[in-house]
Amino acid sequence: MALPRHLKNGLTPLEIEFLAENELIEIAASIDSKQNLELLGGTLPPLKPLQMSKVPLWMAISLKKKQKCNIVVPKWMTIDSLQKSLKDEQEQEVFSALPYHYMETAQLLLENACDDIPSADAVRTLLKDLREARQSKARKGVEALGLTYIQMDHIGLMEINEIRPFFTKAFYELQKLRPAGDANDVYGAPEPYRDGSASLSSSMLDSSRQ
Amino acid sequence: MEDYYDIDSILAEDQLKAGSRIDIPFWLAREIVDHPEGTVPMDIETPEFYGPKVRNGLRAEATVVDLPKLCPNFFRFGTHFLQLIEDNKLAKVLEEAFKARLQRTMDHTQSGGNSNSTEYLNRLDETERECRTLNTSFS
Repeated sequence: MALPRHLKNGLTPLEIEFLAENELIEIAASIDSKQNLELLGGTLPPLKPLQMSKVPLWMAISLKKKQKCNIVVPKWMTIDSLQKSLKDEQEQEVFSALPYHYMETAQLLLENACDDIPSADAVRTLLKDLREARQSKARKGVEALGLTYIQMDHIGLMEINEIRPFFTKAFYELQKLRPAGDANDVYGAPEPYRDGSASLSSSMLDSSRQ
Repeated sequence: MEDYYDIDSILAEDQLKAGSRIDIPFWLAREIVDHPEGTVPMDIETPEFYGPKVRNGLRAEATVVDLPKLCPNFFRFGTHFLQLIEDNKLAKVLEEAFKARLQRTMDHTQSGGNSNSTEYLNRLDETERECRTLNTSFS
């Protein structure tokens, strides 16, 4: 592709942060906007003091900076929930269920609304542990680079973006290393594991080749 | 100047005896094999760097084999070579080795690099180097 070198690797972390800022988050505003909020992405009901309202993250941060709202920490970002996620992360083979933009959201909140997060330091540590556990899981994905595809549920955009250039290139090279005779398998039957029907079809392929 | 079609001169140049072994470039070997008009009877030997010694090394501990020393384009040449010659065992060895080394390579893309990393990075072949540099903008 004729893209400049710095664009070839997909999105930059800053661009991902920008995308994350569009997610809605709950705030407790301390101002009355009196009218509907007309935004490019749609119209939001007016902000009322002492009432919870959902606004995009960028707006929440901007209001927070002017000290016109308090941000409600999302459920998944509370200490209890993070501890549970970390436990899941360490016990299960799959990624624990965190939002698609969890890294970016957490980063932005910790940076701009630290005083709204109960025991922010503990949250920070937990997030760091989570990130490390997930990173090593993504690393294990290299082993799973196989014939057809690789499945990583609940992986965040930032995490995908981090491994994407490496994985796509590696996957591509790996397929080239396969002898031409196996070409049928590459797009045909998936690896014969778990699913009984898959192993059946690949054994049929084998017999037809002989 | 000699006549281009002088048969004696052509025969004089044609010194290859049956059973002799010569080194020819890979592209030439491929051309000879793929030639549309008949074939030249010849066997292609597997290069030493795909030989049993290296294979065993790769099977035992793929990450310590110094690939650029054997062949700077170890894996890329492997793909071409395997198109010419059917050697499923070699394909398997190359694939497994590539995978085993990938994980180590990936570690180096994400952590800035520690003291013994340069030694490992020197053992990467061109393809692996490409994979590695793809990610450096994020580290």
